[in-house]
Amino acid sequence: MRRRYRTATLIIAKQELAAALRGRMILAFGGLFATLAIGIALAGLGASGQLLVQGFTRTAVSLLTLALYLLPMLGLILGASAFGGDDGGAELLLAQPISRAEALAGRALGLAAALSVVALGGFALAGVVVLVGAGAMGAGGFLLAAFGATLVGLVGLSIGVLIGIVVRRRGAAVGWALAAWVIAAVLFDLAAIAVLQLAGDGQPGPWLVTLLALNPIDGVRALALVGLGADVLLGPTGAALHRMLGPGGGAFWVAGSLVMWLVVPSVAGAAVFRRRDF
Amino acid sequence: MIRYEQFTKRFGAVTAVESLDLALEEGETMALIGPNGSGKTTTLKAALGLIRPTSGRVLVEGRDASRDGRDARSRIGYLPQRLAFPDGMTAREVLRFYAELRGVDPELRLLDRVGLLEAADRDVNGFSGGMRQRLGIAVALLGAPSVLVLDEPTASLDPSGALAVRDMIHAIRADGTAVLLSSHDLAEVAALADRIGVFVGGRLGALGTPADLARSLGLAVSTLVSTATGLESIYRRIAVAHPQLVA
Repeated sequence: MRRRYRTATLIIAKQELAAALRGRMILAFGGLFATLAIGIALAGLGASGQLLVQGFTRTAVSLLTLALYLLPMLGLILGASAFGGDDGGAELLLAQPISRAEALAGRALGLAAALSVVALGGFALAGVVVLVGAGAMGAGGFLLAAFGATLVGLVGLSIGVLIGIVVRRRGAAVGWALAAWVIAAVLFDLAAIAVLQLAGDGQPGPWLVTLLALNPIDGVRALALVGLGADVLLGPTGAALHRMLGPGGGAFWVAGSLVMWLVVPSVAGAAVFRRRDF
Repeated sequence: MIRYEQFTKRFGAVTAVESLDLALEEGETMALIGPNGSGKTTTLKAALGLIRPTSGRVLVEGRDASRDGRDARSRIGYLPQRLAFPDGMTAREVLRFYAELRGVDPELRLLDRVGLLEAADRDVNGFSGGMRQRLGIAVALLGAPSVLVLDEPTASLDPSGALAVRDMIHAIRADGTAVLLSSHDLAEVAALADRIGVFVGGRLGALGTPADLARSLGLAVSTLVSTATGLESIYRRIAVAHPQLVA
């Protein structure tokens, strides 16, 4: 019996992954992301009609911009819709001889695996195109970008699951999830610009690391740009990023904040889920 | 089998169930009836640990449903009021999934028992309401639990679907499995249940055999189960007899 309990999480995760991969949301996001990823890898038609293929670094920068919009949105909606409301499925699952922690972990792991398939699948498709067309130079940075974008998607999922558990009604949970995405992907940058203007005469300064730590989307974008060496394209801001996130601990704090963004909503969601009535 | 000891559940300012003392005996079939919101579903869910008591406790074969929930749930098969299965699965896969979670064999004979063997490899999304309920009962029977908890098992079914489910419950109780169910159909519960508990306003207003219940309300059993009598009439009579229940 004890051995079975250890596997309950995996049984549920496997089922949740299979159900998610069959679901319309994953198919739609996955199809869109894969199509756009290949489109980005192929640099578009040149004047002669020949397809030009970008290198790994340029593709990674472009693909990262797209992924950092799409993947957190997918994670947030996936988590909120899976855990918001109840159509009777959760009741039947929790009526089995398993713990709530096993049920929550299993479902969350299955959704995380589905999101990772979408994220890494899109990057892999683009990677194959670039590898065939332009060689392997810069592949390491591309992998870093793929990992970072997937991590931000998982952060979105973690927050989406928390929203779903707390809000309980599916429609409202998805609404809150979309609001969270708008704040993180759009409004935060505007607020950050305002803060930097007021606190540092418009120049990136000590506030930068704090702001990057407060928003996982911006944190991964900055870390990846520095990691890819693309910060040189960003003028004074890029130089500040390089200075802040280079040797000296800034990158450590931003990376640490990403782990926090992943863990804190998960722990909070688990605490609420454990006490919730179904 | 299941024992409620001073079980009380409050949702904020609303008391769903107040100080319930009730025991389902071995091999017994007990039906809970009452208006919507009277506490039937809360009572059933508490036995699964799906709802935690505000005070009091619920024991399943001596195990506290909240503290030893996993152990308690291993002894109960459950059919929820709103039944949903994982997307895109066949009936066979559904049975296998829940069997794995319970650590028991996915007994295909259960699909035969509920008349779904021929539909074993069909996607459950294409199932009728009656077929879904029957599959739900097959899932509830996995591992031969000593007690079944069925929340309005025939609600939203057409007459033939309801009849098939009732026949199944008859067969299950004939095997000696204890059954605790809720229903809005007096004729159904009078035919199925050894005892009927009537909930009004979150309290158990009456409890007894169908004959006891009819007698206490000054009715003949035939009148009790007649659809013309109607549940509302029964609830009104109980409310008049026990005004403190709806105070």
